[in-house]
Amino acid sequence: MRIARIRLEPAPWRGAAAWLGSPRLALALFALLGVAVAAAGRGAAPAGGLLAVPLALLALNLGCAIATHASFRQQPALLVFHVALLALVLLAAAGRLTYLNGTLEISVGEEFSGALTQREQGPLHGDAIERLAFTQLEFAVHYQPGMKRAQTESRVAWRDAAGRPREAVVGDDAPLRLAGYRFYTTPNKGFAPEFVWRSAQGREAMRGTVHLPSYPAQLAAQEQDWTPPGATQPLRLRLEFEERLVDLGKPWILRAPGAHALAVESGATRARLRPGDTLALAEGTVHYAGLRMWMGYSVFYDWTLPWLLAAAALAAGALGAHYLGRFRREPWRPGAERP
Amino acid sequence: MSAEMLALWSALSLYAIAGSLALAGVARARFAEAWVMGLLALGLALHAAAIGVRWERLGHGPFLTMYEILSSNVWSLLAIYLLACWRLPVLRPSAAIVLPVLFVMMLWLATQDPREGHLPPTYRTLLLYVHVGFGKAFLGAVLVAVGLAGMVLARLTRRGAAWFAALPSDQQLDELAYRFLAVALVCETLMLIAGAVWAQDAWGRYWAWDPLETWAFLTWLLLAGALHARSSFRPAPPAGAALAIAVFVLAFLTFFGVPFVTTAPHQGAI
Ligand code: HEM
Repeated sequence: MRIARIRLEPAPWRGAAAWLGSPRLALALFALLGVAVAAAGRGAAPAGGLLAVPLALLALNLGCAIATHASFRQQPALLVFHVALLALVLLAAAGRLTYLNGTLEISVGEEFSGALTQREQGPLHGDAIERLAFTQLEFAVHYQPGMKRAQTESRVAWRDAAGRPREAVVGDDAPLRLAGYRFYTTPNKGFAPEFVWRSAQGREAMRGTVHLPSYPAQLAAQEQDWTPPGATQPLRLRLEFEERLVDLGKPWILRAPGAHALAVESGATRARLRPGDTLALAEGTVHYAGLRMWMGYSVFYDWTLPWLLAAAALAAGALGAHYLGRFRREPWRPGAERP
Repeated sequence: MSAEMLALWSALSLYAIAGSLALAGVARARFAEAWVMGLLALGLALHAAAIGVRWERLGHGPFLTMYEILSSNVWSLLAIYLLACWRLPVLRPSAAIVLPVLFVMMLWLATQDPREGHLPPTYRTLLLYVHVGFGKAFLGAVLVAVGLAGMVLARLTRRGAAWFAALPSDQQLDELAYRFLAVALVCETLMLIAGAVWAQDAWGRYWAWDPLETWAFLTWLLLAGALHARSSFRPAPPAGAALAIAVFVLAFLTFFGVPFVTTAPHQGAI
């Protein structure tokens, strides 16, 4: 007899879940999330850390509400909306654990091989980026009068999964997509003198480029210190234009200048190099092969993107359907008869 | 004066006349509905011509400078409001509340530099129209709710009760305001989704809590919270009205305040 009576009482966890899933708690957590978002917006701390706790609590609250509220069972569209919201929060969390955000610079003619100048990633991000490769070909950046940047067209080449050579023009809002990674061109780009360095110890010659500061953002500061591999004495490089590259009054296209010289300073040695010149220094010889360009990219990886979009679209659609159904049942005009 | 400016200033003048008529109308309890709505419609047509001429001349829509954004929003807010008034006559006396709110934007518009801005390379996308379109629909729906909320709150005073005496009960106005807030939430959700997709393309990240994104999210949260509060607490009409106005204030600051105080992020240009 007693056992039967106990069975009729609600399980204790249901009481807890109903409390955890209460709409009043949801409102309190909305307020908490609002405060955390405002703090994150002011740069008080990284957004991920500040938002993790309120979002986790909201997810718990929402999960319990979905499990316990009868009103959701009577209103399927409202249920779908809230389930989609829960999915959004969980997906965003999964995305934060596995994302990658980085930057890289690459000269025309060079191959990208996974090296980033800056990176920021979730603790569970793998190392797939190290196996990606593409080659930077020529690029053009169009400018409107008055130093206003317009379209960027960057030509890149790579091999697809089947090993076939592929080529495309990317730039601005059209990234290069490789294995889930998206490479976006940035306003960061400039000139890259190419050198062949032969050290005095007679080791093998090394060929490479030095990236001068971003152009035209650092128009007046086309200088860079460079220490050749294995050397101790840095070289001061300065690009000197012998033609007008930029006409502020007209549209123009960023390209490497034809007529230019590279001023090199190392200790007491001073020289002006032109493409093809070689300079002998105490620690080796530097051969100036010519001026190339470099392009700066940002790279972004987040496998949740299409799922986030699907969940968000589902949420919006379900919310619309919920209200449409509800408002159709009652007239819009106060005082009017029901249809 | 250029044809664009002539059309714009004529439109603003018509709006001003319509607003004055609406205010005088409720005060004398003889609201000249047909005149107010007719003048607004005529003003909208002239304003549309001003925006159209500029669009044709510059080759892009009014999305870039503060002048363009204010002008196109005054237009879209009035267009949505007028459409709602046409379908729901009960809204019409709220012109005495809604038009003074818009006058703030019009005065601000009058101080803005009408020169052309620079179209960033990432603006050639359909997402721009989806994002901006839902944003305008969102703000328009909240504005209609504010008109209703304003009438509910005005009726708390004796004079206001006399002005808006002929209208249905507070509960009925409140229910209508709630519907417009619900429409607003759906539109704002779609605006944020389109914005995030566009941000992923244009800036390589879908959401980064820049000031505009932060404020837009807070507005979304407040609106969702307001609708939740309605279903959990069933607040009295004046409290519901206060919530609607709070949503509008936050949305207004997000749309026009944030771009005004911060210029660096979320502008796309440079
Ligand atoms: C996080 C925990 C949440 C809980 C526990 C919760 C709970 C509920 C419940 C029980 C209802 C039904 C109310 C009724 O039918 O009377 C409801 C409705 C609703 N919820 Fe939530 N919800 C949560 C999160 C959210 C969020 C984040 C949003 C964001 C937009 C949201 C938006 C809505 C809307 C718009 C309705 C419909 C209200 C109406 O019909 O007027 N909810 N919610």
